[in-house]
Amino acid sequence: MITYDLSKFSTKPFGRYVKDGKFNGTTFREILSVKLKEAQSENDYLIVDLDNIEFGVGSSFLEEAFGGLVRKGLFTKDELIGSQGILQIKSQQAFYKEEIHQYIDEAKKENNQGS
Amino acid sequence: MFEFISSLFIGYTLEEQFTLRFIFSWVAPILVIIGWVILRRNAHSFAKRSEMNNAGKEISSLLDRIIDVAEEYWLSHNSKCKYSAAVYESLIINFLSRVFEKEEVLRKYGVIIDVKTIVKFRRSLTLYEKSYPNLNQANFLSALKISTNLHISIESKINDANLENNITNLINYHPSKMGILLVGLILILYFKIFEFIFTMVF
Repeated sequence: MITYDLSKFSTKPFGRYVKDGKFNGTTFREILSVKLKEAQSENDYLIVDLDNIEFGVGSSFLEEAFGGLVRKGLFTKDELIGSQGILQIKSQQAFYKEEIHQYIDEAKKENNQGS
Repeated sequence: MFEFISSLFIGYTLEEQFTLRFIFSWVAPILVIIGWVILRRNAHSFAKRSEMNNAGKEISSLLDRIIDVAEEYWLSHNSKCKYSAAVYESLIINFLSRVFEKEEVLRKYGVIIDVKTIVKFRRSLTLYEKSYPNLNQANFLSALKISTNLHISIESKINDANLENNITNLINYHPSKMGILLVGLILILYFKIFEFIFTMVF
């Protein structure tokens, strides 16, 4: 079990793209994918802890970071949130887990879009 | 005092005096307990109602403020808009976290907002970037619709909880240990006083 505390990345994560600021969803996705690959290679799973961020995280950040993992072809939905999924979300607010799962579930790999 | 109590029993047979003694020694304490339970239930019911209604009002006012900020952001032309995307998102997230704090108060009383509705609301507010006027308007209208539904749903759930069977409250919110101890002490004192009075009178 590997835990990654989002507040280590930033206590005020914001935005989708690099143009939105330093602590955006795209940059976080890169860190997240490294951590997930690490967990996958060790047959382990990664817990992302959202409890220590200051106000909360916007939907665009979450969509880009988590939905982006599937969209960019880094992982499949099943690898992340399937029965043997390697991604777990820890938050006192139940909606974060639901929201992240929705983004992963709705994401389509970019090459396959429209097919 | 003793003369007054003795005068009450003049003219009664021993059997009648026993009945009166029984009534004084048992019925009154029972009435005290019933009175205490009723008062406690009413006090709890009132406190619960007022805490729930306050939380509901605060959520309503926060939802209104969210809609005001969203209206300004989504419907104003970029050059006239008071908020940048970062400020808008921070404001919305701040208001939403306060809504969730208040929702926790309601949750204690069984008034629960569906997680899917919360996600839907968050998505309508902060998922997309500002773009064409039509899309901006659609985003705003979606947020407005969800906010209205939330208002209605919270209000109706609070009303239902207010009307909830009071017996359930008595079971869920049992008296405190201190309350039970106090009532016990009062009853012991009450019995002792009566015992003393009857010993003096008869």
